[in-house]
Amino acid sequence: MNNTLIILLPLLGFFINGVWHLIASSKGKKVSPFASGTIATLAMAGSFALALTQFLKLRAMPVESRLIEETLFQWMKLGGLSVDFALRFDSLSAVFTLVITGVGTLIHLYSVGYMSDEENIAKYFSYLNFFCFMMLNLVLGATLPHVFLGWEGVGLASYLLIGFWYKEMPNVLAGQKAFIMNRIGDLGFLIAMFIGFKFAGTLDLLEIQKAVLSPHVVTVFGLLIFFACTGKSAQIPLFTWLPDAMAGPTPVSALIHAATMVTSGIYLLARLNPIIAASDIVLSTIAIVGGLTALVAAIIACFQSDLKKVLAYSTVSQLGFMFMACGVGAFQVGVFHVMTHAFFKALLFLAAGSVIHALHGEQNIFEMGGLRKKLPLTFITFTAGWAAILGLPPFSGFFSKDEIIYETLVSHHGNKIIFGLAIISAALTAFYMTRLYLLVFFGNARMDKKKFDHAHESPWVMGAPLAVLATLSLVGGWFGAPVSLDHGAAEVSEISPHLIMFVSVVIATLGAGLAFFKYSKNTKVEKTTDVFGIDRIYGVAFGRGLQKLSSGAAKYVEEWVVQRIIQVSAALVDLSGNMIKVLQVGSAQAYLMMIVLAVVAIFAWFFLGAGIYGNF
Amino acid sequence: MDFGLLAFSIFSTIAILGSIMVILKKSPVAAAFSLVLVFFAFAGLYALMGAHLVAALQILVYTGAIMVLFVFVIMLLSQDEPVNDLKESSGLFKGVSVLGILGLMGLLIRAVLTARGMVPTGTLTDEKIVSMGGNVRLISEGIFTDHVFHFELTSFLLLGAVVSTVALAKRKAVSGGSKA
Amino acid sequence: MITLEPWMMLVVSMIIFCIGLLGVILRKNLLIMLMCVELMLNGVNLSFVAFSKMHQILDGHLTVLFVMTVAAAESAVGLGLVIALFRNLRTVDSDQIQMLRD
Repeated sequence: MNNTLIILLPLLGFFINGVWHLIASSKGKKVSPFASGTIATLAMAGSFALALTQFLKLRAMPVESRLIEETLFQWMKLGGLSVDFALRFDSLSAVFTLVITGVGTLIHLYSVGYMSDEENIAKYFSYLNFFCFMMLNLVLGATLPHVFLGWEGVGLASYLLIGFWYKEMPNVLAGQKAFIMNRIGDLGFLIAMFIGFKFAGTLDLLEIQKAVLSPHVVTVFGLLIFFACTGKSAQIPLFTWLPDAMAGPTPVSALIHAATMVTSGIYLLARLNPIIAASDIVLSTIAIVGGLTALVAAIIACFQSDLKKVLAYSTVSQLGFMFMACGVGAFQVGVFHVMTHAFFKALLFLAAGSVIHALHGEQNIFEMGGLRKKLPLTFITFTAGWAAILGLPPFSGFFSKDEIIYETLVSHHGNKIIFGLAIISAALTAFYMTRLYLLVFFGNARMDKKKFDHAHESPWVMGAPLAVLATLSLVGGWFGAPVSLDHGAAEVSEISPHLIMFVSVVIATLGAGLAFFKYSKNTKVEKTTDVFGIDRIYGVAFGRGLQKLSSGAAKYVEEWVVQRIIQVSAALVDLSGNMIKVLQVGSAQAYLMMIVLAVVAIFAWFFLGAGIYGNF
Repeated sequence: MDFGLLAFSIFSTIAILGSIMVILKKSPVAAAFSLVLVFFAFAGLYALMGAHLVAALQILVYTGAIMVLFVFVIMLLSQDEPVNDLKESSGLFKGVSVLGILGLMGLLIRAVLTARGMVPTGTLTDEKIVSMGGNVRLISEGIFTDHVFHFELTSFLLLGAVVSTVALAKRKAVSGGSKA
Repeated sequence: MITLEPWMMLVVSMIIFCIGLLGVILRKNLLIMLMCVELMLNGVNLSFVAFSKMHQILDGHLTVLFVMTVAAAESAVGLGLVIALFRNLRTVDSDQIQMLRD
């Protein structure tokens, strides 16, 4: 029953706020942000409490049988396919559920303060609850279609929330971009489901892992699933939507585009890890793509001037780290990083939101500076997030990130190339985060004097989540990760973990130091540089190519093929009409005769011809 | 040649010839009386198959009720003079129709002939029907037990027919509707 | 020796049905067309009874009773329609009744 309640509470919140919004907007009244936010936050908090009790129940069980399953109803039954609507709570789901509901509650609370001036506040909170409902479906669903339901649902919620301020065109376009990019990936998910059903005969997540599949099927299935993940989790080649998604409200960026939704790709890989790990091709593809994404996104992040965009590219880069971990078979480490990343990236986003809130919408980091005295709480919490993402001990990022770097080198599937990618990306991460940190909080105030004086610390509803998340960023690493996903890791190696830890801390310090030398004094304004021009390349390759193709087609195919076909078919219709017109005599009896003739023809076909009753 | 076959030959010949007369006779009254002949022949065929109740009802309902209604309408409309409507349609139309109907007939007969070797699915042989109280009793029991719902439905049908017929008969002539 | 068998009845019923259909197609007089419809119904009735005999069940007889009821209702309504048409158009020729076509 508790599993069901976990997902039902956000749904209830969604309905209450949604109906409230409809009623209020039809009467032209405003909804009180406090009341609406309280409902939404309470729904999430209740969900979190339930998830916690389920987690404790799970802990009390023996390790082998840690699974709480609830089947609600039979969802669909078509031929050999029978899908139940069931919710499964096991150790992997537990991590994700706790992160979603826990971080979700904090972000809901934060939203009460951040969005207090918003007009359609009830709509905002109903979308947010809807997102949590779908995300919980994604991680608790027992079958691939159920996961797909959640997968599409969070995509929808993400689209709605990116375009929440829909009156401005760029926001709408960003929402559409995210939606379409995700659809491309979903194609992979759909085909993977078809393949799974065709060859394994089941869509149940547990049973499909037990099915005996040929190596080729496993490879194709794994690659398709990974392709789906590149869409949702913003990996090369489908990552460009995530930076644009920052058009949405900042709490949304924190919840959906940093902490939860984008990690659903990791969830899917971890959930299907026996199949994914069964193919070396799939694993190395994941590792290479993850590594490249981490590197490319980190490089781009170094050249951004928008506060949220830097964090967005940083998210892409961190997701690349997680995929690297999965790609070397260390799924548990990837999931561990999902958790720690959820803490510190949500924290960074919320702190960034606090800065933006204080400066009334300013997002350019070259228009900031010297804010550490004005916003002390934001500064302290941001520092915690900064230390965590750099991987400085004892912050949470240190544990998970070093695990990943360690695994890339020593794991059965790891090698020096991936290790190199990881270590360079880690250095770059330190560089751009320190750059951001220095530009925002140190140096001289570069904005208007008035704006600077006006800046003030956020209210407690925004401060409290920051404090909690900062604490979690500090201690989150000590929770450890679920250990049930061990594959190819834990090889005996002569390379000491301590050596790697030392190396990565040194690397991070080097990156940070470089940034310190570059930005501590010198505050020359930099323009955002589109380093790789991914969007431009896509524009040229797909946009303009398609345009050329279409205009060519319009010119030649239209004139010589389509029009000819239309003319010929029109002439044919005309001709046959003229022929059939003869039969249109207007006498009911003549029509009856034609019916008889037709019946005779059909009977003759059945009885005498090679019809289905051919053997009379 | 046994009696059954003999009677069947006579009745079926009367039925077929009578029905051909129905469609060939120029006068509606003559056609109606040919039809009465066919109905009587049918009653004989039913009786040959032991369907006594159906045979009796055939005469009562068809000959006694429906045909009387037909003849009554013919008289009412003064349509007793011969009409040569068969000559109106073209020879091609008639030829194609007859050919089509002959084809249909051939196919239907071919289809029912495949039923010759069928194994009976029921158990009500003639002897058993007699021992169970006869065909009328069994059918009546069937109507008022298993098929009582359908039986009640037919009462609705008849009620609807009565209402609609009255409505049609009571309506006055539409002025200006006369076209011919 | 040949004895009477149900399939012979079926053949007769099919012949009668087809003659009735031919009449509906060829005759223009509405009254005779209705009579031909009765012929078709009777042909089908005969096949019901014959099948009933063949399968040694009595459901066919019951069906015939219902068909007779429907036939009675049909001819009552049909003749009512003919009377109404005749009152308006002074004809019972189906080719003359074409108000919907024009």
